[in-house]
Amino acid sequence: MLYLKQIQWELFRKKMRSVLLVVLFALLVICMSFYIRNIRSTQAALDDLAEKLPVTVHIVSGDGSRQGGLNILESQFFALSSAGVHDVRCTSSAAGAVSEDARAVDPFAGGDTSIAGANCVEATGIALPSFAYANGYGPSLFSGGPEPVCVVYKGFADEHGLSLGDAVTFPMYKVSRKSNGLSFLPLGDVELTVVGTFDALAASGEPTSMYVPIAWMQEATKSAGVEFTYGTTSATLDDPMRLNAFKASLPEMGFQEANPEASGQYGGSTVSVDDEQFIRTAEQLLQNLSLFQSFFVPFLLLLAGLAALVIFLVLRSTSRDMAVANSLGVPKRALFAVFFAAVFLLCILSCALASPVLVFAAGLSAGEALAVCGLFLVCAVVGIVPALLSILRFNTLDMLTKVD
Amino acid sequence: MSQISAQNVSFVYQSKYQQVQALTDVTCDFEEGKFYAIVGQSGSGKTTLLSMLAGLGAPTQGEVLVDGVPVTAADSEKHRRDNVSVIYQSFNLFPALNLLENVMYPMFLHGVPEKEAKPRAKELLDAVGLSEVDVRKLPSMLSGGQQQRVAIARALASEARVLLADEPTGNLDSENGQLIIDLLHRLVREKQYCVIVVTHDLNIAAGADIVYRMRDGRLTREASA
Ligand SMILES: Nc1ncnc2c1ncn2[C@@H]1O[C@H](COP(=O)(O)OP(=O)(O)O)[C@@H](O)[C@H]1O
Ligand SMILES: [Mg+2]
Repeated sequence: MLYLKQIQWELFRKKMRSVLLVVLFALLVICMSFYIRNIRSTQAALDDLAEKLPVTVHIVSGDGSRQGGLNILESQFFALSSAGVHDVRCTSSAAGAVSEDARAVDPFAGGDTSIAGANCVEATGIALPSFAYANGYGPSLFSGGPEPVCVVYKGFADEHGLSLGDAVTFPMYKVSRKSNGLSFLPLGDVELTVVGTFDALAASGEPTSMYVPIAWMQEATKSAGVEFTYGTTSATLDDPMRLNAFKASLPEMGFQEANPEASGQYGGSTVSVDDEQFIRTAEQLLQNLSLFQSFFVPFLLLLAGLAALVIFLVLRSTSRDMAVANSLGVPKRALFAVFFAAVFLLCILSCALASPVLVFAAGLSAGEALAVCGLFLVCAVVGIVPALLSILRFNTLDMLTKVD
Repeated sequence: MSQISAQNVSFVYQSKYQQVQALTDVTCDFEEGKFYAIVGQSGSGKTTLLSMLAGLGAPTQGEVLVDGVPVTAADSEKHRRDNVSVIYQSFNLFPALNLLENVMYPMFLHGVPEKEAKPRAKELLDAVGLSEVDVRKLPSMLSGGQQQRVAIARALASEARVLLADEPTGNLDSENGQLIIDLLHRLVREKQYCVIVVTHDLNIAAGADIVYRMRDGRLTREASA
């Protein structure tokens, strides 16, 4: 009964002291929440890294120098596209002769029409808004089945008097690159319906006159008895965190390391991984995370130490009151309990006052804020105990016979 | 009947750098209804003896007894709650509590409920001559003499029958000092308290029933006048 009263007195009769402690404790709670938020946001950044910094892989020539204009075998394409990747993009090139003049050239030497098969708009390297489609068609035509349709360059369409819905018939040739130049394998006459146009050219590579669904090109090539190859193949890793495992599995998949002296400049025997930025960023984040994590316990101890120091400095002047109470017969352990309870209540109040800051400024969830407060209370207890014990070490008689 | 006594009490202050023999083989008896004075030079051991009697330290040798029962370290707090009250030169009131609360404190410690404690504390404040003072004042708003009266009222609020006063008039002018001494005398005469006053003031000693003299930690009883 006296002790409850005394707790009340300690809290409310020394308002400035209580306010000071509450403010300082609240600052400690906020400090702690920002530290924890840092850990959490670093962790989150690391988790998001695969999306923010996707790691793309390309099939390149054996010497590592070329990503395009290759003769990538179907087996190589399947090896890569089934190795834990998504967003596979591929193209394949062909040529044709649409105008009478071009058809007249014999033997065929490239004609007037460069044709690319693509499995998605992104594989063309041309910005999406540059395309316009006929009714009922859209970008999905590339990923669809072997439909005999094409999307043509506006300039090419104008030149040849083509417009949406027209059918165009011409001899098509498979383009194959060798070290001694291009070779053209006849695929026979093909008939395509114009279902779209585009008015920009790819930033890199030769200008393309028309794009067709790669599935159709593949079918047209094979039905002419010619081996189908891809000109480019790239993909995005499903799990960049398993980058090393992916790289280690490349030889098993039949790919070799890039070798600048390698022959076969147009084969698709090597895979290059664009992981530099990912690795740099991931390492930085991992380093930060492990730094924050390894200093977490020292940080908590520091907080406990600060709490102890604050309590010691603020309550030291109360030791005379404690001595008076002790001389009246209040045991020191009861004084300990009274002051512990008073300070602990102030800690809880600080948490309550700080929690809006935790939720709205530090962006913690209610559960996390509660966890931070709980952790702070543990730190506070670790601080309160030694602070009170050292204050209570006074000699009652010395304290009371001091004349002020 | 013997209230409180010291049996061959010696006390040594043990610090890191020195040992001070503050009390040597002190034996004395204090009875109810008597006013005792302990005189002696500064540093002779008077405060040390008082603190032994108050249970604020255990004798190095010998023992303090209450009604013949030794006070052990384990029950020194109970001893302070129940048997003795100390009045200090510097009052030692609780600065954040008002007069009434200061006086009620020992009663709360004994579990007396507030509605009983309040009228009793008022009575005690009246009895020490503070009937005119607003009981809701804080100690710092009072004069030294008034503060010492509050301290005495607080001492009377416990069950203790022995009042130990260490130079209770040391911080007061002679007029206020005399009023405090008169008050203590009245408590002895009218309420049969046992009052033990440590003092430099020979006038106070002259009014005591029994005078002890402390000299270098040894206590001797002065021949009564
Ligand atoms: N806390 C202490 N530590 C060491 N020596 C002390 C302490 N308190 C008092 N003394 C010494 O003990 C002796 C007696 O002191 P005290 O009882 O205070 O004397 P008095 O009250 O008669 O002035 C003195 O020599 C004093 O210096
Ligand atoms: Mg003294």
